[in-house]
Amino acid sequence: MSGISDTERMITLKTVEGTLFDVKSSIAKDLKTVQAFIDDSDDDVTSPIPLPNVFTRELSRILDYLNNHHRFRSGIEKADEEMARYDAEFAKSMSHEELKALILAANYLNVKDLLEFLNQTVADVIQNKSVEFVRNFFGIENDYTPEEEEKLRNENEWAFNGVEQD
Amino acid sequence: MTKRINYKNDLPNELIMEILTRLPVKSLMRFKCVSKSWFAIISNDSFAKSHFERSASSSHRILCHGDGELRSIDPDLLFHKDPHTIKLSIPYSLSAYVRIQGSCRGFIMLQEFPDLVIWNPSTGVNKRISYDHLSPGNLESGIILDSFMFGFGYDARRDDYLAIIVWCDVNGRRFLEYFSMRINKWERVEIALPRPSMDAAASLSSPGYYLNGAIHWDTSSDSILAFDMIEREFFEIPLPEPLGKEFMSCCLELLGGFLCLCVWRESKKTEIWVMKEYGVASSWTVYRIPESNFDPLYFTKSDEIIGFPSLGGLAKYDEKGELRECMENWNYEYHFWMYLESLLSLPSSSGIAWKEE
Repeated sequence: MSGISDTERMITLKTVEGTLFDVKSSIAKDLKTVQAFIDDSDDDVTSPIPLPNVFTRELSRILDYLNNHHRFRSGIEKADEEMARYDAEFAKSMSHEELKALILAANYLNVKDLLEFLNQTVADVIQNKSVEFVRNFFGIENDYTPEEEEKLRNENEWAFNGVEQD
Repeated sequence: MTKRINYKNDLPNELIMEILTRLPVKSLMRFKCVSKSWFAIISNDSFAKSHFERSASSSHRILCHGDGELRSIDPDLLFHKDPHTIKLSIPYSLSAYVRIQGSCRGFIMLQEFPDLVIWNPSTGVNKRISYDHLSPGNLESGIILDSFMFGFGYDARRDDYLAIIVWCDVNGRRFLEYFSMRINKWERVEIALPRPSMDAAASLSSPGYYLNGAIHWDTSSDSILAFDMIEREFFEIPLPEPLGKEFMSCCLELLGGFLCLCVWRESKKTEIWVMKEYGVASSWTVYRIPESNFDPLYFTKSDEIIGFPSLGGLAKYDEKGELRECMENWNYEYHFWMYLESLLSLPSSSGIAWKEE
């Protein structure tokens, strides 16, 4: 790592609950919403940047993900394996509610790679699941009448074969 | 423990769509039942297009036609005991003699005089087009019936699909008869093949293989005949020079998204020439299968070739010509056709996708 350089500048972020996080500016670059705020500011940003839509739990997870990925990318041997293992653990450690909350936060902060990963994770979770499971997962109400739903199921019978039990 | 503020984690539609574009067609067809708004998202044409663009390279399926039945198989499950074959009903109760003449972006074109049926087996959407105006009784100058060449392809510039029939009249004039989904009627232009010497060869009826914006036909000349969907003209792709001229047969196939030539020689070996980069002559790569009269079926993502040995069964060879897997019981009296899965619907002049009950 170089001595005096931009990468060591710290940015402070403040969550909804008022918790402060000190973040290296190299990490903050991955939070594109934050970076845009910094770029748009005329002067150097010294006071904490408020994130009115982001809770402590989510920001903490996002920073954990970014810090680890930066570490993996900085050239440790066997980084790919370690990263895959980390990613798997990261995904598994969250409940469905937490997963969705993290997607919303990552979307608001515009953390592209993490969002791709989370979207793929959810897609993998729901791919072979039943319609009821998916409704539950996304909190969606069924607005079909029983007849309408039956007709739709019959038309696409083949798509219901081999579905995982809930 | 601090009290959390209650909030709903409901994902807005744009985020749900990002997740849905990553799902296979089967899941999406099932999830149309989740709610009416999900039905609308999944049936939406732009969603279908971005889904197709994202998944096109991984959504191959094999249509298996025989015994009056149509089945769809996942090529990655060909050697599994239960390949989860899906039975399909032939639309319009076309007979068992129906021929597959082309496929493109999830649509398959079935042909049985006087009908062409454009059909998406994944969504069921289909459209019937009659070509009975090309029957001998309806034309002034006689047409040569067995000169018909069929094809189906996508015109990316006009976002349109064309069903094509190329035919010859008794005076040797060649015509391109084409049906655009958007214009919704037959139109005809006189057209010439790239070289007069291709004329005799082009009367062999081979289905049209759509790839990369062009339809390709097998002819017995020394190049592949192709039709550019945007420029609406013929061109040719020369056969690889190292192929030589000493072979018993050379057939054009479309395997796993690549133009391939299946060559049977006296030497009791089969060569599969794969054009790894479309249009690049130097990219022809030859796979030598140590069997005679091997009939290829599919080219996997791991560069392996699956096909039918002449003595029966199913076999998989790797790029070095080594046998990786084989299966004894496989009924190969069927016809096979590779297609892509998609949720796409046909554009129409009235903006409504057709569906037959």
